[in-house]
Amino acid sequence: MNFSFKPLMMGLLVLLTTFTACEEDEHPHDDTLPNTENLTLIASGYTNEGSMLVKLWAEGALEAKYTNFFVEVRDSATSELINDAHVELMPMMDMGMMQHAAPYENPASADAVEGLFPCAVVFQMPGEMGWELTIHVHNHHSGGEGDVTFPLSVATPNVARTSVVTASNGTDMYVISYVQPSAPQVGMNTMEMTVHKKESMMSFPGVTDLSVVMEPSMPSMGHGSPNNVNPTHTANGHYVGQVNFTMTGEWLIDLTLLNGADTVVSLVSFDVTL
Amino acid sequence: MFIRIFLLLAVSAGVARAQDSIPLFSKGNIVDRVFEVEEILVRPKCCCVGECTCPTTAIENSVTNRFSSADALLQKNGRITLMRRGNFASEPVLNGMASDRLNITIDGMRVFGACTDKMDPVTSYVEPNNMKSISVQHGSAGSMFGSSLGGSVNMETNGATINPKKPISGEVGAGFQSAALGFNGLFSINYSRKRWAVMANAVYRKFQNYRSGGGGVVNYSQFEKWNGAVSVKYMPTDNDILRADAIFDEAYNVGYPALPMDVLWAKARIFGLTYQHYPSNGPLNRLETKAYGNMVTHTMDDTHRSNVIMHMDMPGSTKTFGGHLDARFSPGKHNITARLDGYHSNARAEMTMYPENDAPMFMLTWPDVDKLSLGLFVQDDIRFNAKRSLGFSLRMDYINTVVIDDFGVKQASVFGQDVSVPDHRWLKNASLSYQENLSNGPTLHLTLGYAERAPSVTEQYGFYIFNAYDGFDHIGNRDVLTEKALQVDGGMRLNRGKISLNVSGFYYHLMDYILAAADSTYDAMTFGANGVKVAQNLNTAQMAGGNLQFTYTPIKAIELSTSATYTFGGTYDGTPLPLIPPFRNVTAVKWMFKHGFVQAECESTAPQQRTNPAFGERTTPAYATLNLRAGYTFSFGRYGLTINTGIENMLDTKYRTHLDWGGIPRPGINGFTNLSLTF
Repeated sequence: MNFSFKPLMMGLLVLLTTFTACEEDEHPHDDTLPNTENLTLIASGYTNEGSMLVKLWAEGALEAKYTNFFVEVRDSATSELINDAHVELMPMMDMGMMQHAAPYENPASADAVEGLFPCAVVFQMPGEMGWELTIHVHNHHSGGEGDVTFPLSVATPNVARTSVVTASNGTDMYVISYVQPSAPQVGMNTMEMTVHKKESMMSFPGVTDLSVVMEPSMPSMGHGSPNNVNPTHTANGHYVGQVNFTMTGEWLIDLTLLNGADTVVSLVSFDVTL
Repeated sequence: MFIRIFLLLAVSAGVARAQDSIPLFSKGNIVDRVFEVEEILVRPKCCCVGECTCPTTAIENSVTNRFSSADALLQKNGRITLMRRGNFASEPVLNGMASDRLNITIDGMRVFGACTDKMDPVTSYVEPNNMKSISVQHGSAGSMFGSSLGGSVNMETNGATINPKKPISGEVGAGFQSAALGFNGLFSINYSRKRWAVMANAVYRKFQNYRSGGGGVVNYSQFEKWNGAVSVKYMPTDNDILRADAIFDEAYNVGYPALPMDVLWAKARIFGLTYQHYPSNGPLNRLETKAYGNMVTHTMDDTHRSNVIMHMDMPGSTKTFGGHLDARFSPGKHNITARLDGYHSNARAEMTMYPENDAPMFMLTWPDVDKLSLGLFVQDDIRFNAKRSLGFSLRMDYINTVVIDDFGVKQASVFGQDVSVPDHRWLKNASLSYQENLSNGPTLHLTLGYAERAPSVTEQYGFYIFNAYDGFDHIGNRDVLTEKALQVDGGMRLNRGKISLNVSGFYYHLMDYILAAADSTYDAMTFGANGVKVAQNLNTAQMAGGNLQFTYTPIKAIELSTSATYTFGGTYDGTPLPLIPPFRNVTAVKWMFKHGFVQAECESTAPQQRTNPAFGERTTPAYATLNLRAGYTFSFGRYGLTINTGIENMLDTKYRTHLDWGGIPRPGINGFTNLSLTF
């Protein structure tokens, strides 16, 4: 038998070098990224062009609400994680007779955050079939560009978390979504919501210039809670304030949207149970 | 045999001196205070050497007292009135001040009620059958037992009696009363050897809904309870006493007609271990060290009420551990008491409401509050001579409170309060007393005091505690200031021949008086509540009052007595403070014969027109009731059989007192009979 120690020694040397390199490297190796431990893989597929594998992650199974997505992009040949890319979303609901889009938020930057491109879609209605999310990726590293489309199944949430309402003027339509508190607690909670205006079937821009009056109450008791802070606009149609709960149980958060003194949306309510 | 009806002023230092020739341990736990200690005796004082209870002498009032409840007994002190929410466990009010402003202790032990609605004042956890006496001290003069504004009420339990001459003694009794078809049973037994003794006693009471004056039945006024106590005493030497006490109290199905719910059960477990050393010589009279622990639990119940909008559970508990070390010595003319005491207490109360279709609603009405209190007390009574004495007392307390449950911390954050940060307070109490026995008879006494008290758990950390009197939900205020008072308390006593006169009065200037004020920016939580009140400090307020007790004994067998009490409370702009009792008078005539007595008594009050509108108070009309009582004791050798009987509220007057919650009338005509056999 022609047995040689040489390959073994080479292998050991490589291992040693790798470990030494790892120890010297201040940043963790790319292999540790992305961290998807607490995420659910929704879909995975190759782009039609540009040789990329795209994985779509979310914080859980999809429901009709404001949904955070995390897009993972890899070179389909090398499996190398791509951290520099332009990612664009286009959600679409095909209802047979008609199609409409949904409010969405593309990643804020072409630089991935710990290997993932965070973005969001507001599914304003549920649908086991019909929802599709097209992701367009422009790989800045290779220059390649391509699309992938995932069919999505969007369940009805236990509690309504998004509401499509007709404005007080009778014509405009808004999509209003509850973002947090996702795990409401007795005490002070950050209250976050989004407001998008339906400009057309395909365009739902964030509304940035409204003021919000928020009133939490317990429907079974008829009382509210003190020292709430009305949500105010931060960016991209997000409004952030503070909601206080004095006890566990079922709460109702009533929201009124105003533009100056004019009521834009007279009442949208979200149930919160804690 | 002469027994004063209302109270006995025990100038016990004098008693102690007179007994210097007998072994010191016979002094028992007598409060050695030259000045105003008012004692209500449950058992007759006796003069025998060693400890004994003198079972066959002077029993008539004592027996009645033992069938009574602790709160009812307290009312015999002219300056105490009762705040009623039902037919059970009234809250004592001393000098116009209720439990938050009083120290109510059992053998000096701090016990805290577990009910946020004060359904279970401390007085409900000890029964007169287990009591030797109740001592009442006013204002800062009572600061030996803790810092308070109104004063101290210490209930001294009976304990085991070492009396080898009578190895077995005890009592069995049963009583019946008609207004609530109430049954009282009591039992006690003491077994003594030369160096040790053990005592056990128990009380059982079961009352139905009572009838008020005019015949109406007051629903939800029933209760059932038992109380048991065991005490062991051991004397390793003639100079040392070791004592262990345990009290168990359980009440069930207690109705509170003035409140929206009742009590399913209330339980207390109270334990104390005491060591006393009486040196044979030297200036040191007594060294005492005590360790104690108690746990009070309480669960409210609305399932028997018909108009409940939403069922709710409200359990509460307090756990207290503490101890003290005190020394009494009398170098020369001084009579010094020094005491180091401390306790740690936890209070937690929950509220869970169950709406029909929604998720249960939970909150902490007492958010798991830990309280640490450490105190140092020094008192010196200087007897210049038999007629003149001067005393002072100083007390310093360190109080630390904090909410330990994160849920409670988060709750309070809604009101912008950070209750996770401990609250520290230093409390200072001082009093200066002078007493002079004028040559022509009367004894004058005057006490000047300064008192501080820490806010109660409810005042500092309460969370949506509904007060059925004012109809508001109450929210605590962690940063509420310490309440303070400048106090003058004085009076005179005169015992001359057939006349006994006792007059006392007080004036308290209150600073940072804690009173909850409505805050209209908050929503009430409770259905139908008027709003939310938050504990606040009133800059200043004043309270004043007086009590006169006069007894005339024209012939040895006849005693006429009258007691009159008035309390005033208000702010300096003239707004009355809430829950101030009106003028009250009790006048009695008593005929005493060899083994018994007959007594007719009239109790009356003036109307209370001074009300605090923000508290939702209404005026209360005047009333008068007539009571007739009689007692007789048959003696058969070592046995004594005592019968007490009487009719209370003979005219079946329908009445309520100003402090009674909810306008609920008090019991109407009530016949009672108690039988007691002592052996």
